[in-house]
Amino acid sequence: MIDLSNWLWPGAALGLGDEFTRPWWYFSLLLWLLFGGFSLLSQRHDPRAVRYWLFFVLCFAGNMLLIAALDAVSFYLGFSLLSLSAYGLVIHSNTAKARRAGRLYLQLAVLGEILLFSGLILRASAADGRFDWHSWQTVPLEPLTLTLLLLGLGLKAGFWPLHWWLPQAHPVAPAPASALLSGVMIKAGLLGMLMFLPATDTLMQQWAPLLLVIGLISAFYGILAGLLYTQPKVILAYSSVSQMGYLLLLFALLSLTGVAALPVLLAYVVHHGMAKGSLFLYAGMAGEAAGRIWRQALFWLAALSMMALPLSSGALVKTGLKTQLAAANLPAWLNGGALSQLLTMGAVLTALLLLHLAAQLRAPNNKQSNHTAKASAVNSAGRWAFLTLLVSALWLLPWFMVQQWQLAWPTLAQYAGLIWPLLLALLLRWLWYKLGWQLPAYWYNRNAAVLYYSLRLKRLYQPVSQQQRQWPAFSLRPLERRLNRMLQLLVVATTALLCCLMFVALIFSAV
Amino acid sequence: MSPFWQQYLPLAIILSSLLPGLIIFTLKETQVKLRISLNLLGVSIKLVLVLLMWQAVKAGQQFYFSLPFLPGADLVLQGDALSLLFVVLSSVLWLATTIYAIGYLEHSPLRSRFFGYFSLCVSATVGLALAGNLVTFLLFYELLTLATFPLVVHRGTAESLAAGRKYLAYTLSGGVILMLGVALLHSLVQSPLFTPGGYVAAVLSGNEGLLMLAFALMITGLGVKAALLPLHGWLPQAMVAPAPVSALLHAVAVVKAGAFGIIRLVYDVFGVESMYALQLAQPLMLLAAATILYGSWRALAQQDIKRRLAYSTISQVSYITLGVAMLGPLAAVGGLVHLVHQGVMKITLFFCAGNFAETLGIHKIRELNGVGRRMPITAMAFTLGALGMIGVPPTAGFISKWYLGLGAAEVEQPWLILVFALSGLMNAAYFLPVIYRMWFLPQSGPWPAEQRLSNRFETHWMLLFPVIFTAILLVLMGVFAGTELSPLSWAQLIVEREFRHD
Repeated sequence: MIDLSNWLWPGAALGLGDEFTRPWWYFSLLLWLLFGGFSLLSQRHDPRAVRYWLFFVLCFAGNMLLIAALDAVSFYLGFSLLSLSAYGLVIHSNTAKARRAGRLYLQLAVLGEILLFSGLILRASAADGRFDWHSWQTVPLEPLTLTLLLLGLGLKAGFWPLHWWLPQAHPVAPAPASALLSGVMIKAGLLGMLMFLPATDTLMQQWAPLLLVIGLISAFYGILAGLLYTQPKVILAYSSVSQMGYLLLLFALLSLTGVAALPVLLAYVVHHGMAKGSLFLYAGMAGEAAGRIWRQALFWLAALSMMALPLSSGALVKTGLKTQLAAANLPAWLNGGALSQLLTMGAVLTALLLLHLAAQLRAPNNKQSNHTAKASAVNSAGRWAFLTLLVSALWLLPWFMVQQWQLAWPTLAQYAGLIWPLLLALLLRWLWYKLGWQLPAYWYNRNAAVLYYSLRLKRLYQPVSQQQRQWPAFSLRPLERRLNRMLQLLVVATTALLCCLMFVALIFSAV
Repeated sequence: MSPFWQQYLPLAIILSSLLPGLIIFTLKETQVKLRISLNLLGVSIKLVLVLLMWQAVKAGQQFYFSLPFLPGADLVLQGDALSLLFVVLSSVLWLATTIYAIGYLEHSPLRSRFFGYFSLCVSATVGLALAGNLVTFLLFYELLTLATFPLVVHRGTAESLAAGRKYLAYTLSGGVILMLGVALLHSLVQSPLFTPGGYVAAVLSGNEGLLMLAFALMITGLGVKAALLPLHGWLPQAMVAPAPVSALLHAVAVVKAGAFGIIRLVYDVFGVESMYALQLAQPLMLLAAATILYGSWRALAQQDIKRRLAYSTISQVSYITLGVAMLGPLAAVGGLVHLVHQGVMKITLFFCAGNFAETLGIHKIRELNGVGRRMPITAMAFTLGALGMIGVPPTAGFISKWYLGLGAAEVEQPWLILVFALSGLMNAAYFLPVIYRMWFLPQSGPWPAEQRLSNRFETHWMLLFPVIFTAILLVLMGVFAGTELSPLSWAQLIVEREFRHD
């Protein structure tokens, strides 16, 4: 632990002493460096490369700082640095769409910051002015504080119903930036929840079932919404909403299992970061994969890991999730068996969404790549090498997880439970394809209503035409002028008269 | 420090700007070098003296100087921790503003008059900070009004004369009301020295009504300068003054004089216990909260840069009042430290607005498109100042908001956190679009009135360096808030001394 409270802001301290911040730090560092390396190649011919790197580095610094922060102020500093700088990455392409998405993102980010700020203030005050979050763990939460922190951090984490910005902002950013947004940055919200909402707190344990249900809804919502879109990166963003739902579910399970779920949560975070990162990278250069089996194989490897194919990291974390759910002491109104079946259904849907994604990636209108024009063969090969590296790391991950977090390999019966949802999804997809099931056309690719509200909000604080209300002007100046003009004639005489009168009065009073 | 200095140092600090100011009045317009050297000499002497005093006060020494003035009320100057906070702020920012003003007014007429009143204005501010009792405070408060008026109307245009008239009408009536309040209080308890914990407690029983009246009168009088809600009308008008004057007006001299007066009144005249006993804090708190929201709300609609900044000042200065009115130690730290932080941030913003106006002829916000490429340093400073106003760490603004928020939670007024949150949102809503315009939008047309003021820098170096200085200062004050030298630790020292008396 590095104590900086005598040097920097009050209470400043950095350190990685925890069971979750340490792996989080290393995993984030790894992904940032990898995507940074990828950006070196992908942004090579970018006319706005300087801007890209500026915001990239600021985000990087913010993210690393918030993980290492031991006190609330440092966390908040890192968090706001991350949130505000990510705006520069979101609007990087500078298209109208990107600016719209950026506006929505910034509005929600600022709102989230303010909510988080209020929550942290209340928490610091409840803890008698101590700023380090370790000592906050034993301070009981209050409903208002909990709500504020959940909303503030949730707006970053992007689970339903706080996901609005996510499907807008992720698709417009450059590929490595959206990979980072989805893979690392939205996890900052989750990390904040881990730090500031102690699982052992009584109020937290009362609220955990509610969070669990929200997580489930989010998991299903993300997939169902994603199925209605045809742009690969939008589908991936909705998939992130769904995956953040699973993570929220795991977060709620922390309170219900007495923190036994922590290793699974960490494994899930790493798994999702890598898998989603690879998919976003692939989506950014899908055009270059046409007709090349090995490049397409990389996509399938990443997708299959997310679909929880046996032996993949996805299989490990999904099994772990089910085990934890079975072990949790749920309240009476939540049926453990039904939840478990819902998870299985969720697995089917996840597989379905990824199959949908694969189909959309092959579709002709999505084939264009950002890099076709100028990219040299070496540049392209380098980028694919990075992706290969990432995907191989993803497939080595299960062994690492078993070593590091003692996750159990699934048993044979569990393997069967993992495989049949996949087969079912394939069957459904095939039927869907064969029978040509379609919803009415206006269900697809809808513009999000939230963009409209974002614009309304902008008009509220930035009116198009200046509507200055004219208050009736009340001025004493004309009156003053008139008075002066009137007095001008008689001013000496009046004063003299007044003086005489006063003098007389004085004499009389003396007598 | 020798007894001689203990007596005369406060006087010397005032004279160090008063004397050069008086000499400058007599100079010819062409004696530029002499005038500049006099100005800079005054600034440097003042800074050295203030530094000496700062060290002595930190070590616990007392400064006291008195002249017979009125029966029962001497003219007293004293240096305590609170007055030092304001004195240091005004002297350091005076340095920056002097350099800025020299660059800004180069080749413009009537500079002797300008710099003469400029020095008088700072002398009055420092005198007001060092005032040892209410009568002395009142004297310097009125002097400040008179010294600032010629600066506001310096341009001599119809608009600035109108603004000046409004300014005089507001501040003189405010002064009269303040005088009534002071006189009323004087008739009750005389005017002893400002003491931590206040001095009205002795006559509290039986005089509640009169004391409340006196408090209301004095808050009204001070509220005119501090731009509290119904009395703020002069401030947005007065921004027609030249940029260095608005910078000084908003950051140090006038607005802060009102806020500083409120601090003195609450802590050193009435004291926390009497404030509780008379239940005066709640109305003041409500008023300040309303002003915060109102100022931010009105700032949203302004299209002129300086007008937007002016409404932002109305809102931000009330943070100080609010911090004081909460009557808790943490809130007091927040309010006091905001006195310094707001000053540095706002002066940076006004300097930047002046740079844009002087170099490119930009006055409206919509003309700012793409200015980040033409004037990157100024735009960067503006960005930092704006982020500080919103309260984004690690700028100074965050530290004061953090302590104000903690203070609100400490005195169990959580609704005030809502006020801070709303104001923060509105601050973001009116500053972030400006930043967006500067950095992300391309230049939309030729600059309204571009001038080449320097071959090497984006603008004249005398306009640029003060901006860089204050921008760096505002980041340093935030990042190194935990160190011994920071305004935060000084504010904590003051609060320790203020709340220790019981």
